[in-house]
Amino acid sequence: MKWEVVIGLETHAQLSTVSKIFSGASTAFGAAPNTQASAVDLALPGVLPVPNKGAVERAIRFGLAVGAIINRQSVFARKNYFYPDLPKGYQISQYEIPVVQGGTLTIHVGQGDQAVEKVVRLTRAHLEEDAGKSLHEDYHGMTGIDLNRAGTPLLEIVSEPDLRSADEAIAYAKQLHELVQWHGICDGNMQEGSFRCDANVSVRPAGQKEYGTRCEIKNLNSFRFMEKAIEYEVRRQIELIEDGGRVVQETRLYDPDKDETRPMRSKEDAMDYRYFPDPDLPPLVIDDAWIERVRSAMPETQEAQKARFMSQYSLSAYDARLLTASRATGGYFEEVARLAAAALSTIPGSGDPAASPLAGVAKAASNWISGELSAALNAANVGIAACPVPPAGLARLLVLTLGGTLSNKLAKEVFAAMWAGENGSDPAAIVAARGLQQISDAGAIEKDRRRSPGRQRAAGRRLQGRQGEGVQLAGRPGHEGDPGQGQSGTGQRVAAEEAGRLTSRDRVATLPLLPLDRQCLAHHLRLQFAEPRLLLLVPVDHLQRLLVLFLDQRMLLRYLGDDARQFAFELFRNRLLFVEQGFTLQVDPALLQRLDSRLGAVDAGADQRQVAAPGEIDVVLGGV
Amino acid sequence: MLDSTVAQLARALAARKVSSVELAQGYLERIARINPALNAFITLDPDVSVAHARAADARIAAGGGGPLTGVPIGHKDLFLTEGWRTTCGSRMLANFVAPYESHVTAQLKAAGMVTMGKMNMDEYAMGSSNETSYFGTVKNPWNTALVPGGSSGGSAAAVASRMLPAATGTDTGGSIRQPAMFCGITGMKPTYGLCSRYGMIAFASSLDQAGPFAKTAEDCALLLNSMVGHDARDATSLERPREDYTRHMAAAPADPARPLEGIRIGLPREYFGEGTAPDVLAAVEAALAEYRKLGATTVDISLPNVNLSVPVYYVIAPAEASSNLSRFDGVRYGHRAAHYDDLLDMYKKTRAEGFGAEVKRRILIGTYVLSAGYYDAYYLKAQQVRRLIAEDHVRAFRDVDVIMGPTAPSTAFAFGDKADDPVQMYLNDIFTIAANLAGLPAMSVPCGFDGRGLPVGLHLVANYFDEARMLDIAHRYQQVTDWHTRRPTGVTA
Repeated sequence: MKWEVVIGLETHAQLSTVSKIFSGASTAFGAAPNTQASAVDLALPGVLPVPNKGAVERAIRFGLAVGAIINRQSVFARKNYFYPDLPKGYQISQYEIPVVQGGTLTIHVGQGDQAVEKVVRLTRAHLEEDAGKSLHEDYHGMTGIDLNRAGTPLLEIVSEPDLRSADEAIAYAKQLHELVQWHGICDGNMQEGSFRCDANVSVRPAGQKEYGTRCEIKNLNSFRFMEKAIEYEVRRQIELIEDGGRVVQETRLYDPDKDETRPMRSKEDAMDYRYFPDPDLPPLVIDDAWIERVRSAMPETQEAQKARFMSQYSLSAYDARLLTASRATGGYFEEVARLAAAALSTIPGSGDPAASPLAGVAKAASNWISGELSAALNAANVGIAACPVPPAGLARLLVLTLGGTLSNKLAKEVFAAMWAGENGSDPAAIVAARGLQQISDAGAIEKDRRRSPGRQRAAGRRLQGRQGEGVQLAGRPGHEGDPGQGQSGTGQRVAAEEAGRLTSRDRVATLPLLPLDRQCLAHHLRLQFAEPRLLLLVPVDHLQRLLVLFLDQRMLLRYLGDDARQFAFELFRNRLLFVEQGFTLQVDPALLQRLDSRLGAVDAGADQRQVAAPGEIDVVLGGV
Repeated sequence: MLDSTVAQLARALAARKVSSVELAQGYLERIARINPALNAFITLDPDVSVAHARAADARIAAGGGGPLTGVPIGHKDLFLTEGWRTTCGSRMLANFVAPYESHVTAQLKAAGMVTMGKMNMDEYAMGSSNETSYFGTVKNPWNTALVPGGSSGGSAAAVASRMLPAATGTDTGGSIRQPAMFCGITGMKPTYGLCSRYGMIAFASSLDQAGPFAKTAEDCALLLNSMVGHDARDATSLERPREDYTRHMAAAPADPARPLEGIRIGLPREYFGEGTAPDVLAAVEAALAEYRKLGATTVDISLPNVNLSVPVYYVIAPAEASSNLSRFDGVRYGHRAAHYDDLLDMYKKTRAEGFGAEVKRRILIGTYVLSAGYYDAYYLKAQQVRRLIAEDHVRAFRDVDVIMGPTAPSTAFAFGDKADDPVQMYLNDIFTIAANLAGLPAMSVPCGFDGRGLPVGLHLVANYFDEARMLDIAHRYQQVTDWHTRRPTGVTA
């Protein structure tokens, strides 16, 4: 049978703010455990969260970058569960109304010039805080808790199940990875966990409309692992089904050592997170003016820059795509092209003045950047922003090659010397020091000059004159220099960001009331409720006795077996029906009595499995 | 000294008729004599208190004193007070020493007030009788066989018994106003958002609000002046221009005999029905008659949805509490079980041991109403009805300046009377809860006694941010009555 793979990705992008999403503690990576956790992050009694404007702004930027709807009012909600690295016992996230809804991401699937474009729909993106870390090693049978990461701002970006192969999933993840860095939303550092994905994978017979049962593979923090994990999981599911089995919905973890996914927890263990709007945080209000401010400060998009590179520099789509992999790369390229073209245009007799020198220079710059430079960067594992060869240096080298002074082979040697910092990384000086002039015959130079622009000496002299500028360029950061990228002055920047907390200054004073549902109003108005003592109609003695059994909210399920648990819930529901009673409920005394006798059975410690099926008890609610 | 108000003490301090150290020592002496019978304090630290007083004296001597400098105060034990044990009335925090100062107490400290101790309270502010405190019940100074009300019972009992001239409290469903009535003093809660909640251990975040206890409305206004104020650490803290809550009191009325001429008092028929003790109603009626003499008019109004207040409250408050109290897990601070098998067992035992029965009951109710499948039926509906209740009030305040009624349906009850019946207990807050649900300012003012000689409270609710006028309306009444000056008869010292 032919199988179709269906994948949706959930990506957690750590936002590049200097301070946390709800506290003033620093987000810098790698500090000693618990040195970057404030009272708020530790969830001391009495502390409260205040949203970080910078985090919201990055979410808006993301929404604009993917053409999504920015919700003018979104709601922070609490996701409740117990774990030692979750200090409050709940995570502040967004649930029903996220800050960003919809949007699309265009991905490129396939290699080189054969790459095909595909538009992937996004479901939503919402703001949330990260949890701390549990360190299970090095503590001799104990677990260490590091809360430095607790409260780090995350944007969870959820795609629709539009991806049809591991390749597409990787292409999507890579594109998203480029986009969040492009817009200064996330530093993209996957080793530090700044960008990590969960993949929802299912398979279905080709042509079938319904989705198959999915498994979620958690915490994929490298593209290679993502690819292998998805491929393994697809194989596993297909084999399982073909062998007559069924896929069980569950959460799985990928083990790179064994190259397999293993179950983490099944749906039956799924927790009830009891989401509800966080009463400590008013709705997040974003007005048009704020969105416009963010929009106007946004850089040219990756797609726009790619299109411009194709038209302005006559580059192929493939080249343009490589050069726009990041804003730093695009900026580096344009700087090299501009400087080299300017240098060449000032050299007398440098070719046909009618023909744009830019195209030739651009193609050469593109080849160098995507070739030699990129290889060197990869080998040294540094980003282009930290490239030891500044754009001005590469431009000077380009002028030497285009001017015919150097062959490509020699130019590579000069480039290596520049990379190593020889002769102040000045290509002309390296050429001179190493005696690398390609052509010594004067006649040949004359001939050459006619063929291609530039003359070594003149070019060399002019470039010498530009060295001051070159130094200056090298000292300039290769990218926008978003706060939080550097190490020094963090405290100062945290303080600056603190001035940008969303306090009541930024909103209209509103009471924490939910909007009134019209239907509820209509429903409510039909009711007669004139008896303030109606509460007393509900007997509570058994409720109390039952409560004695419940030593802890989370433990409820464990003190009682499954059936009894259901029974207890139902009983509870009926005991608590005073709320509903205010509206319509009529309780049948006979049924109440039956409930009581069942409760008596629980109290007497009777076998809980004998407690009757919960379906019967629902009858009480039939009085509504 | 003991019967002096905060305003009088401040004047005496400013005039150097008494020093802050003398005041602190005088009150400490009285606390030592009376507190064993009442149990109003959880923590005392006389040396620290006297040191505070000494600093206040120095400040006054240097000419830097303000209207509260040197005056003693006690803080409900859910305000974090740096260096002081802060227990929230719970075993969970029995040994927790606050590492920072709450915004409200920090402001009172900055005003020069002297912290005298931490006041007993219902555990996590969950209760209406102070019977749920891990540190024992507080006794009512009018009759030590009776409850002082709750949850701020220690604060109310201490001020009523003259162990303190003033105290802070918090009010989630009536936790300031009901004990103020039971103990025969004045207590108020401002509009939600005026006092920062930073450093107040949360019970129900959308309802909790700090407020003062004192003998008079004037004192409450003075204290409120220093308690409110925007705090960037609380996203629900409102930023408003500073105002002087005593300003109306200071103004001379056109007709001194009728200072409340033109004031319209709304009387919701829902608050004057059956179920309220006749002598409570009689005292309230007498107060209303007094108000008419002061020039005010009374208007019958209706708040059609307030009868839903109790059920709505007992969905929303436990829901928020069930989540707010999750942080007390034994991992980082507070109680942790001595022996446990694994993580789950640690949580289980820690929370089972650390929390009392009422706290567990509310956590459970809250967990239940937020659970999958029940959220819409309970929590969402309760929030919607909450809005209806708020709208009832907004509508009413188009026609009236203040709403009045009894603070609670009955005067102080005996220990154990309602402890076995949570619903009966919950109903004691039936008149006070609506103000929390709507976020409105409200207060309780002594207005007489029932047949057993127990104080009755007149409940005032005002429109948003109308504290100054509400306090003045209470103040004018106190100018012509002396209920608020009566000393409790249950303690002799």
